[in-house]
Order: sequence, then C-alpha cells, then structure tokens
Amino acid sequence: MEFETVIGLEVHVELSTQSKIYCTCSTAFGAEENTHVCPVCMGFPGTLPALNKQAVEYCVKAGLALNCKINQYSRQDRKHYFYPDLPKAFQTSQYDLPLCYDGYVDLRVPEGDPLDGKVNKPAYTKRIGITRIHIEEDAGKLIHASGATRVDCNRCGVPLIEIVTEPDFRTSGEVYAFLQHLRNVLLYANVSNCRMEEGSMRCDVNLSLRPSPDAPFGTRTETKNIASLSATVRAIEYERARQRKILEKGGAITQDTLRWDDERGVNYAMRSKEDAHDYFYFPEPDIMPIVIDDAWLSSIKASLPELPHERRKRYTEALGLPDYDADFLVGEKAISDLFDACVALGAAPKTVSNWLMSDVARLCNDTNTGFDELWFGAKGLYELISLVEKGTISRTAGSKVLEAMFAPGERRSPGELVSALGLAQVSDEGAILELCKTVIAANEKAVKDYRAGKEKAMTSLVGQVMKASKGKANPAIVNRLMRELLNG
Amino acid sequence: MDIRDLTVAELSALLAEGKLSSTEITKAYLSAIEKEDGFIRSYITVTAEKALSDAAAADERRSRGTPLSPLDGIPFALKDNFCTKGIKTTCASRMLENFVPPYTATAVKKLEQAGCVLLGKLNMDEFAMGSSTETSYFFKTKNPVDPERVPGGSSGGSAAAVAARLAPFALGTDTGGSIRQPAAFCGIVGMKPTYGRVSRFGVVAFASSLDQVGPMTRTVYDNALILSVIAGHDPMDASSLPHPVPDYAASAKDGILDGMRVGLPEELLGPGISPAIREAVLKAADVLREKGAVVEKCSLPRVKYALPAYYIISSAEAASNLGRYDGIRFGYAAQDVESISELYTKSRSEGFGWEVKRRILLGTFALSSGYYDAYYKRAQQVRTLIMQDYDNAFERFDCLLTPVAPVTAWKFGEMSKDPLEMYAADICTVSVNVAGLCGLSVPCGTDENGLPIGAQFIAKPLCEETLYRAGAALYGR
Repeated sequence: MEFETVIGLEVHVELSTQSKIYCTCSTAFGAEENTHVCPVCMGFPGTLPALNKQAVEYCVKAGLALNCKINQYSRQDRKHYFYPDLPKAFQTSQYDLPLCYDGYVDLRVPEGDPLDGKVNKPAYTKRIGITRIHIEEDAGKLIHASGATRVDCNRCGVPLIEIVTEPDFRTSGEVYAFLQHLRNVLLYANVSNCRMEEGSMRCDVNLSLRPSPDAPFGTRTETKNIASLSATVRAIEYERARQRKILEKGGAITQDTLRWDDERGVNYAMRSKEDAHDYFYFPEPDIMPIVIDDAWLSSIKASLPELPHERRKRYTEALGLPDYDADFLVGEKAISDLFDACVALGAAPKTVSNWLMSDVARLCNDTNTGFDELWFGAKGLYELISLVEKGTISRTAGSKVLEAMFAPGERRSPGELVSALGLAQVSDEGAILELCKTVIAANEKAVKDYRAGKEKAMTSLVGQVMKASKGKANPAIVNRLMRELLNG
Repeated sequence: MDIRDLTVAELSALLAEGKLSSTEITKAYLSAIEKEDGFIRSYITVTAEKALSDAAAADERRSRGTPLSPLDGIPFALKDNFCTKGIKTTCASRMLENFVPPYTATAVKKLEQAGCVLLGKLNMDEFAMGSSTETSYFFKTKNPVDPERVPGGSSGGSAAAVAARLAPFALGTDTGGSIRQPAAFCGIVGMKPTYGRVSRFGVVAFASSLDQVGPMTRTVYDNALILSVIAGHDPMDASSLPHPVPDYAASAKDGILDGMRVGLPEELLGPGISPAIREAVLKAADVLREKGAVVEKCSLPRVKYALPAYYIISSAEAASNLGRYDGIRFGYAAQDVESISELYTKSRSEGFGWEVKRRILLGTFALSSGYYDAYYKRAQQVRTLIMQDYDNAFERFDCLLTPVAPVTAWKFGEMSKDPLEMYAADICTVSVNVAGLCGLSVPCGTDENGLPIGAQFIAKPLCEETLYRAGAALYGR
C-alpha cells in the first residue's frame, strides 16, 4: 500500500539576546551550573518579571523575515506543569495572541537524499505555511549523576521563539531543506545563533500518514528530542516506517508523544493522548499586554538586515554573478559575509566567488572549520587573491599558500608565506630567456616538430621551462619568449 | 507624654525639633512589644537588635543635620508577606517557616531609604487567604479592642499592632479587603491604593491582578504621609503606574468638602448589613453633608456578582502563583520521599494549611479545560461589567461611601466552620479590587458591644487624594 506522509513542525529557537527574557541574568552558554541565575529566574516568592524588549523585537524580526503578519496587540499566558526544571511551575508563553502569525517560506527543495553528502541542485519550489511564531521562556536542565538528580537553572528564562508550521511537508528532504533555510534566515536576521548542538535550535515533528493526497489527515504522533538536522531526517524516516507497518497490518495509530533516541535509531512513547497535560492556560497578570505601535513596528522593520533572497538578487543583478554562484554564497551566512567583505576591500566578485567555491570550501570542509572561524578573515583572503591577480604568484602557488594558511597554528600573512615557501613568481625576462635557450638547445626534436607546425610541441617546451624554474616562472612570459625565439 | 500615643506626624515633628530620639521611640515600642505582645500576639518576628542599630544610625544622621527624610528614625512593622533581605519572611505558613529572602520588597526599600526603622514582621492569614488571621500556621492574633474577638484579616497582625500601639504604623496588603476590613475591626485607618500605585515587587503574591500594598495607621494624615513615600513606578513591577506621586498629606489636612459629590450605593446598605453599621454609615453621610458634601443615593446593580468573580479570579491566580512551592529550591520539603511526585505531593500537603489548599483546588478547577469558559473567563467578563457600574457612578460622584464589612469583629471560631459564610463577609470590599479602584477605611463609630465600625470611601483609579479629603473630613486628621 502507498501512503502519503504529512509532516508539520514545531521549532524552538533560542534568541541571542544578551540577557534573559524577564531578568538581567546572562544568556551565555556553557557557564558553571546555577551561576547565571537570580531570584527572578529562580521563581522566588514575590519576584516579578520585567519583559526584555529586545526579545520582543527579535521575535517580530523573525516573523517579518518569514513573511508573517504581526499582532500589534499581543499578550503572554501562563502554561502550567510541575517539573523540577520549571521554577515557577508555569512557563510564560503565548496562547491565543502570538506575536506573529500567517507567514510562509518559498522553499527550494533539492533532489535526492538529503544525507548523501552531495550538493544537490534545487528540483522544485514549494510554499511552506508558517502558522504562528510566539515568544516564551526556556526551562532549566536536570543533571542525573552519581545516583542523584540536580537542577541547573542557567537556561531558565532564556528567551525562545516557537515556530509552528502548517502540515505542508511530504518528505524528510523537504523538512531538511526547510530547517536549513530557517536556520539561514534566522542567522541573517541576526536573532539567533541557531546552534543545534548547544540546544539553541530544537525541532518537534508531527507526522501522520494517509492513503491518498485527498484523504483526510491520519492520526498523528509528535516526536520530541531531536538534536540535529540529520537526526530529524532519521527520526522522520523511522516514524514513517513504523506507522506504515501498523497501517499495513490494519492497525490504528495512537496519538502518542514519542521520544527520539538517535544513538539507537528508535523512538519510544513518552505519553499517550489519555494522559495529555491540561496546561491551565490563562493570561499572565504580571506582564502587561505587548502593544507594538506603528512607529515601533517600522523601526523593527528598518533594523532588519538584508535577507538571503535579497542578497541573492544583489549578487546576480548588481554583481553579475551566475545563479549557481549566488546560491552557493547565500546558502550560508558566513560565506556570504566573507564574500561581501572581500568585495568591499576591492576584489573582483567573480574571482572571490571562484576562490570560495573551490579552495576555501574544500579546505574548510577538510579542516572542519567554519567560514566565520578563519583566523585570517576577509583581509587575509583578499591579500592572497591580490597576490595572484598582480602576478606575484601563480594561481597554483596561490592554492599552496592558502593550504599553508589553514595549517594548525599558522599565523603568517600570505605575503610572508610566499617568501617562506619560495613561491614568488619569476618575471625577470633575462633569467627566463636563459632558461628558454637551455631548453631549446636540449630538445632539438621538439623544436623541429614545432617548426614543422606541431603546436603541441610548444606545450612540452613551455612545460620544460616551468619545470626548470620549479614552477616559479611566469607562464605568460615563458610562452611569449619561447615563441619569439623559435619564430625569430 | 507617652511616646506610644504620638502619631507619625507628631513623632516626625519632635524628632525634627530634637525633643525625641529615634532610639527612645524604638526602645519604647520594643519594650511594649516585649510586655504586651505575648497577649495580643501580633508579631511573628521582632527584629530588636537591627531596630536599635538602625535607630542609632538615624539619630546619628539627625545629629549631623542630614536626616534622610522627615520620617527618618520612625519605627514601623510589616505584614509577614513583604520580603525582607536577611529576615525571615513566613507568610504565616509552614511552607515558608524558615524562608529568608535574599532581597527586599520595593515598598519596604522606600521606607528604609526614608530612614524608617523596622520593628518586626506581623501575623496574617496564611498567604493572605482569610478574613480573620485565624488561618495563620503559627498562632491567632487578638483584637486589642476585645481580646475574645478576631482582628480581621488577612492583615490582622498589622491592624492589631497599630491599634494596640505596638507600632506607629504598619504596611499591609489588600487583595479583597485585607487592609480595610482589619482596619475597620480594630478601629484604625487603612488604605487600599489604586492597583499599580505601589510596587508589588517583593510582596509574596496571592492574586497578581488584585494584590496591592497600603499603609495602616492611626490617623488619616499619617496614612497619607506613608503612601507618599511608598507609591510610585518601579521598573521591577510592570503593573506599577508611571504617574507622578502627589503630596497626599496636603489633601488629608483640609476638613471642608466644598461641594464634593458622594454616592451611597444602596446595594451595599441593604439586607445583610447589620443595622448598627448601616446606621453608623448613614450618620457618617450626615457628617459629610455638614462639611459641605452633597450626598445622594446611587446604584451599583451588578456589584453583587463581584464576590463570586473575586473568589474565582483570586483562587485561579493563587493556584498558579503557589505552584512554585514544590520543596525543591526553597521552603518546606518533605523528607523520606521515593519520587519527585511524592516530593511534590507530600511537601505541598504538609506545607500548606486547609484554607490555602481549598483555594488552590478552587482555582485549579476554574482554570481546567472544559470549565475555563464557564468560570475564569466568565469571571473576567463580570469584572468588566462591574467596572462599567463604577464608571457610571463616577460620572455623578467624586467618591462613594459604603460600610467596610457587613458585621463587626466576630469571636474566634465563630465563622471558621463554613468558609462561604466568611467569604460573604468580604461583600463590601472585593469589588474595589476587582475594578482596580482605590478604597479607604476610616473608623465611624461603634456598635452596641463597643466594637469599631469602619466607613469605606471608594474613588476612581489614582484619586487617593479625594479619599484622604473625605476621610479627614469624617475622622479628622
């Protein structure tokens, strides 16, 4: 039997504000347990929340970047449950008046398996609906060790946005492409660092199957605890197969909440619909309604940085780059930022793009380095490109210099490396002329062949000169002098 | 001259003239507490050592001619739901029996910055839930007027301490009448300011949308003096109002009402109100007329729904606010538990008293899915209607005059059997909190047993000055 898979997502993203949503504690990741806490985020008696305006602005920015409408009158609600990592026994969230609603993403979905490691070309474009984006606070963390359980409240009160999509996905490939796109847009909008490994981006998957695209939705399950992009794909494929097996045997899906175990590659039920929580939602009386007047909204709009589709347009239209280059560059904000910085220093756009797509991309991949983590930055890359463009070194030597720049602990500039590695190109015509004469004298046959009209013989002769110069002779000069000698 | 007979205003004047020292005043109160509070039992904690050193510091400032304010060196006491850094804050609950907060409530900080000297923390109904201070985990407080009777509640310790001259003034909190009713029962002055007028930061929450801090004093003038100090915007409390704080004491001086329009809502003078109280309030109306006020009857047709709406909203918010007492970070934690759910259940079962548990159950029910619309949502809609009733009345009147309570102070245990009976005694006060207005309770005579009766003035948000004018006209400065 064939089934159509229907998937909707709930994505939680930590906002990159300096301080928490209701107090002035730091949001920095990785601090010692319970050091970024105060009576407010620990829920001590008598304390009250003071809403961080920046968190509201970041949420609205995310909404604008995802084509949402903005509720200019919004409010927060309390969502109650008891758990030791939730100090107040309620999470301050938004229930019926989220800050953003009714948005969309026009997704370019690549062909093939998202996990095959290849860069696949976009196969089709699909619109994914964004139901809502609301603001809420994160909870703390339980640490189970040596027979005891301890609570770390450092994450309590870190601002989050929850992005809820429509059930518009049909494959894990679409979900993968969406999450990549979402991460990219939020990075461009500068509202989150979206580090899944630090838990600053988390994804819950709602999935159901139905016999045909026009059948009503089937019973869905919700899979939680998915900690990476690739784990999302694995969790979806597993759950799809599990539901399919049940349905093929004539069984029924129960509306469970599942927990994904990526190590073992399986999910298991956390709770069923019968023991679903009643969260006793009601409007948070300690926080006034969030009113975003027109002036505030326009200032948020104005502060929104250039988004990926806008950059892409600039690259193809103003800078004249091919579509392929533009897609590659905007595909990751760090690459695009590096590109823009090099171009701003004066490099030719297409030349920078070529370097980034080839050598830089390969070396970053081999050394597992992010484009934003290069010690030499745009300045170093620009210097290297300039050395090649000016003819100080050959393009091949340029690759060698870049490789050297990627060596662990290397801090010498491209110029210094050129000297240290002896890669400077020889453009001294007298020296090159001597080399050409030596090669001509030693290769009578090739000289004869060339004079008899065999153009190929020239390539061999030039190659010999390059070899004799240990690759440092300027190939253009070699070519010209060799022709002059033989034709003269 | 007995120091304890002096009002805050008089103490302030004598301190300024150098005729009295803060140390003398503080010692007089501490020794009175030591001698007399064993009988009245208004204090849970007495901070004698800190009080004496704070008093010495105040005297030092006075001697250098640099007092912090006219109130520098004047002692006071606090209901035990105001957080005080380094000093036990119990809420009269086993749950917080040993809780020492690492921060001080904003209202208290303002008094400290004015140089006031804390004497100690006062008894109350557990988590401010009750109308008689009988739900305190620790002990019952006696009404100084008649020790067989309750002092009212929930700020019963505050009212008793001020009435028994065991503190020159005290702060209380009022969620549905908890300042005004004990003030009336003990024969003192109590102000429930407009919601948001005084910061709630550091006050252990009962019902967030109704709670408000206010002064409890022996005179109207003293009350106005204290409100001027504690009122104002606080960045730590988003509900606190940004409006400038007037000199309230200036309004409490004038005894002439010169055309003030006063309404008498007939719904709060009808059946259910004891005849002696009705008579005393009507007499108060005559006094106001003599002073130049125009007093007329009016109607608040939907005010009777304030009581159920109040008990739904306050219980729902309380159930939410009290979820944090789980035995993990602070407060009472049950021992020898096997699981996290047992830790929760046992800590909360053993740490909370019956009245608190009753409100948590009521509130949880009112918020549960399937019942939310019928209870919580409806109560909020009723709230809007009650506000409309008041809006209509305030088109014709500057303030309203009502009783504070339908009865005078009752005997211990008399009302504890049926909670509904005690809830019903809040009928005159709850609508003021539900509508976010301000209300002032001033003494207006006694009943056949010599028990104090309170008159309540109600005004629009931020019209505390009107209340002080009317209160001073009725009761004098």
